[in-house]
Amino acid sequence: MSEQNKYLFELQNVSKIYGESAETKVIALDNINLKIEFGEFTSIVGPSGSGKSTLLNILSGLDSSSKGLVKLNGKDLSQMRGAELADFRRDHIGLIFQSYNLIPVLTVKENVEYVMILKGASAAERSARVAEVLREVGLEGKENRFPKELSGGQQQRVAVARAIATKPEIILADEPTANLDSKMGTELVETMKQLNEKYQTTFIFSTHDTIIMDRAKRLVVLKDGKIVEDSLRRQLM
Amino acid sequence: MISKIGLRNVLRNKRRSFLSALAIGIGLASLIIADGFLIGMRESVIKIVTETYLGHAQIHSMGYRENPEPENFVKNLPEITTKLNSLQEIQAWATRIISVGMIKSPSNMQNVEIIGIDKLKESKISKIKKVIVKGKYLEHAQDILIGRRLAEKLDLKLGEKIVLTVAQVFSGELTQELFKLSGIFQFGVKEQDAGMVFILDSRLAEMLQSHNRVQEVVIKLHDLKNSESKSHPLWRKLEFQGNEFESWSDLVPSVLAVLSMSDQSVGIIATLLLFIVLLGILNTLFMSIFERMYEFGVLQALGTRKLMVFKMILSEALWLGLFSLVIGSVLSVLVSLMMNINGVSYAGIEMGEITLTGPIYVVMTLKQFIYYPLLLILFTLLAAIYPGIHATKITLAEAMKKSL
Repeated sequence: MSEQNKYLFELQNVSKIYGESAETKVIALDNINLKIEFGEFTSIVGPSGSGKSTLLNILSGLDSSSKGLVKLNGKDLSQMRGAELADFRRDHIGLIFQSYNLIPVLTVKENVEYVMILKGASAAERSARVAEVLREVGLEGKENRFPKELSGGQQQRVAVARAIATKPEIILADEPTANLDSKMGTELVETMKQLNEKYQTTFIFSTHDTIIMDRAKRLVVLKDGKIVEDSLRRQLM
Repeated sequence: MISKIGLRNVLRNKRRSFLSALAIGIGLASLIIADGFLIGMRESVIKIVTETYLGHAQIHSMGYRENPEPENFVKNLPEITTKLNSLQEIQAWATRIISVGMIKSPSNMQNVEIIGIDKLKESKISKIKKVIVKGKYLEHAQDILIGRRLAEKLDLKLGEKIVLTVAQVFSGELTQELFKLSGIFQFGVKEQDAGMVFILDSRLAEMLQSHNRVQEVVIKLHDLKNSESKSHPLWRKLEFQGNEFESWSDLVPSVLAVLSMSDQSVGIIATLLLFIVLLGILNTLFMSIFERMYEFGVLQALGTRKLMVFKMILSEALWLGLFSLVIGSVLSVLVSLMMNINGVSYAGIEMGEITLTGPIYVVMTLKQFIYYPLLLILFTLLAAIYPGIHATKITLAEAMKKSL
């Protein structure tokens, strides 16, 4: 790995400002500098409105920064547009959403293989990989169910399976346990932790959940759009 | 996968999709039925025009129609009749002697067109024998048939005596003959019912001193379409030197013009209906898409390119179009069958110079079930373009504000 690509993410003086006039202007991120290495299991925490979601949006390329440089594996995300950015997300990033966001008209199997189809995987590859990831998240036998036929925890597991199906380098997860009870949340975090260790996939969460915070290798604390604390292996309890 | 997602999204809200497909299907059915009805009307008009009196085609001496003088006889008549007897395309033919003259009843008189016919051959070509509303067909040399309107004007009753006056063809001398009204006909065509009389051709030839020569040969074909194109070989076979072979459409261009206007009206109806269909699809797709902006955000967040999202919308529209097509086709067949039980009565309605006589039936053709559905699909896809573009123009972070 070259020195330049030592970090998976590298944010230099990144700011995100909404609104143009002085009255409507909101600084969501204020001069953020952050480096995230490969294989991290990082939690971004902070109160509501602290900029967690904005930071994840920028890291995933769903939104762009107003100022500063965002590099993913050495590539400047702000230089990417349209199809290139879509392909980049497809090839490198897995996303897990708070409200699962499965495609309601597709079955569990189809939801998971959708991202693999986007990547051009063959039917045989897809079939084998879908079976593998569904086994890993504990959803064997539920392949042909539609999302509405599953519990919240099961739906979030499908979302995890979908996120890891293409073996991306990074999984970005926004409050993944927010809609789950503590038992389901704990199981989900354990599953993700195992995947992190097994595949060295980098996990970055925004969360309020102490279960995730407990298990995170690194905590980044945001307040009013600024990083107020960045610590390794800290236990918050 | 695109097609599967499109189909399942259509089936997602079954009631809305069904109502939309029904509305679009009704548009398609209206189009097919309107087209079928106009074809029926066209066929009915052509049938009235050709089978009543005109025939499918006629042969005249060159220039006769511009200058219908009795001395403009059909040339080479023996050759023509021999040819007509030998051609397989010909179902029947008859010759006519035509002259203008004066008809006089005890109470009135009027100029008329006098047609001398071969009573047997004419009955196979025109409807003159069938449209006699009072009395009987020509049998004896003194028999004469006149139209209902003319009979009313001359205040004539069956069996009453009539005097016909004509000028002899070559000498110009006037000849008068006495006839007895044997029958009153009603073609349903104003001009004919008010200004034509029929007598036996031998009697008229005698009055005109025309020596078995005729002004008109009327032809009925096995297939009417053979008379429509001048490139058809039949034309060359029958256009003898000095004569003109003309189809019904050459003989009554005004009817053709009315029919052509009907075709244009189908075009206008089609455009309006398809425009309504287009708005219906646009509305349905927009309703469906606005509800799912968040989903389109998710799809793109997962790495779906905008083009693929656009294709998904097109696919959804295509499925909606296909359902509408099935509904519309079934509806059009059912409604047409119902309309065809008794036909739609247009009896007595005048169209150009023609008075429609019987009911009109909807004519269903394969073309209607290929051309219009294809047009529907095309319009469906066109209607999906704008919503499709709209779905790809979303800002992901905005569309997904609830989450990442």
